[in-house]
Amino acid sequence: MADELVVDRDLTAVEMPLDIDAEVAPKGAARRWLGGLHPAYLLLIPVLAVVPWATAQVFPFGVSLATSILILSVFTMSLDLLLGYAGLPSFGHAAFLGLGAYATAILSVRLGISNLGIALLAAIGMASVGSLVLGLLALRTSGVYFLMLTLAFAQMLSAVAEKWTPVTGGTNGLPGVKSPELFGGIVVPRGIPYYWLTLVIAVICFYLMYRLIHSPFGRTLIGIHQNEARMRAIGYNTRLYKLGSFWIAGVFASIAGVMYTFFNQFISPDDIGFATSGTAVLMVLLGGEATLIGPILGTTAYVLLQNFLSSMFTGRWQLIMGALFVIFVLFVRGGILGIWTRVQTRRKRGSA
Amino acid sequence: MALLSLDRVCMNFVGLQALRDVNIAVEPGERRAIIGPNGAGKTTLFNIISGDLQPSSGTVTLDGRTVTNMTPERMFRLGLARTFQKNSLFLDLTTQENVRLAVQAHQRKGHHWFRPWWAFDALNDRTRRVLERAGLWSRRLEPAKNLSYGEQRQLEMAIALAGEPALLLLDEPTAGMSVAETASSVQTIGALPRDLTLLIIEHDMDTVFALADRITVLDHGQVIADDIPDVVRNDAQVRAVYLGEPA
Repeated sequence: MADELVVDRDLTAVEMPLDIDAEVAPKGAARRWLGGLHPAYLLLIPVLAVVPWATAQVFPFGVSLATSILILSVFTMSLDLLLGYAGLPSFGHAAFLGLGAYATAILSVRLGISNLGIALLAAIGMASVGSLVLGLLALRTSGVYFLMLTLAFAQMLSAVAEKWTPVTGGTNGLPGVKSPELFGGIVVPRGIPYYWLTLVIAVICFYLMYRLIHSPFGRTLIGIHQNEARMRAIGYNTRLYKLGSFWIAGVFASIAGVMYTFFNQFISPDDIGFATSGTAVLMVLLGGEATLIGPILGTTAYVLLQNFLSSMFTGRWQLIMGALFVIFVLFVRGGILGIWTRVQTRRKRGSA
Repeated sequence: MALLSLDRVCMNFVGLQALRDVNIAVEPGERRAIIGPNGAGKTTLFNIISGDLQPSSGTVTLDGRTVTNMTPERMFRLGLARTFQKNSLFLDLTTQENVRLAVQAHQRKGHHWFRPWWAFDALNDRTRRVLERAGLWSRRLEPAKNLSYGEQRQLEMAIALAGEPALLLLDEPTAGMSVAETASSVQTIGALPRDLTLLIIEHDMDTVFALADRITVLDHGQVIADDIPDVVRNDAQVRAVYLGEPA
């Protein structure tokens, strides 16, 4: 009867990993200033800065591996803002990486401007327009329709990159991107200097996103993910918040795009296709969604495994990667970080 | 003047007229119960008042303002809060965060993206007071899904009250509760400030007669009685349709 015609609201509730620590106000000025992060994590910065450099003799590819892990981590963290926090299944996130990447390449190759600041501004501008336009359209839908729209948008952008040859270089892409220049004309050459620059950018991005997820805005996104109907009932304009998260995620992805182009000194439509969007989703799930550490772990594991497996089993590494992914999705909910939290809880229970 | 009034509200679902020319006027501070057999249209009526459904025709007025086509979030800002028949909580979030999200909406702090939540003193003070009043302060770090059913109903109400509403819609506040939990819920609702207007859908007659100043009886989408409890209790038509007695 009439009462039964009303949709069951509990269907919209989604299971999420819970971060109880995020619910206890941190003590101490340093932690408060860091947005709740333990100051000990700051020690990671010098470690990350020194290790690839110190071990360059033993692992000659260490620096470039570490650089691409950092860049892709910024990308996957930004995707996780949508996937894990706001609960928006975007399968076209490479579009925003692409906007940043092509903005950088076009500036450098076509206009001869390789300034990092200008590239970042251009990328953020492009990503803002792109994400707001797509967001306004796609956020009218949800679930699988949202997924399809983001996918279609990304395919459309990569088609533009492929066909608009005079500007984008078509299928050949844009080779010959110069090393980035900082304000004051200092050029950051490839290798270790560029790695350090990437580290600085990645740390800033991580810090900003970390603050974001502990802010009222970030908590609102989690609430929308959990139960959107209830969020509307308590006065949130949820679509506006989702649009905000879409914009922020797009901007961070475009920053990753800038760093990606300067790193490879080349961009082509292949780099921004579905493979990139799909792999990023994989990395997030592999590491553990709805955390920022998860995407970093997932990205690191993926990149290292890819390199290790592809040198051991040429041509067959994707098979192994696929199997691994199936195992993770089926049996390891919460990804690598999920395993860690479970071990921790068990140990706590054991000692109590 | 009535705080809430419904004027000839109709709701047609495909193949079903769920509400027919419903007129209701609720005075400020009144505690109104809406009763009726299953399928009488009570929840539909609630969803129309809260903005979750648009009526097929008719108007809804809140505090002199026509709100017929407003969204739930705008209705909330105009001072209308509701609880749901089935608990609608943020199950994987802590009890504290459930309340804080509601307080945050009321204090309009949701757009702050850089300052962490614990740096907002007014937000956390208010969250604490709401939790204490609901008797949930000691359970604040427990995920909502780990609370007992009675505690979850308390939390449901705490979320609705966090925004200091003028009108609170309670959809079966004691549904599925044990006798003890029902008694404590009735006490909690009874102890709400008198200037808060309540609109209650309830099946439990003891609860209705304990709380309501006035009762509206719905049957097959129509109002068949609207009066003080003693009159409604003795109304022949009500006894016929609701209590199953011959008229």
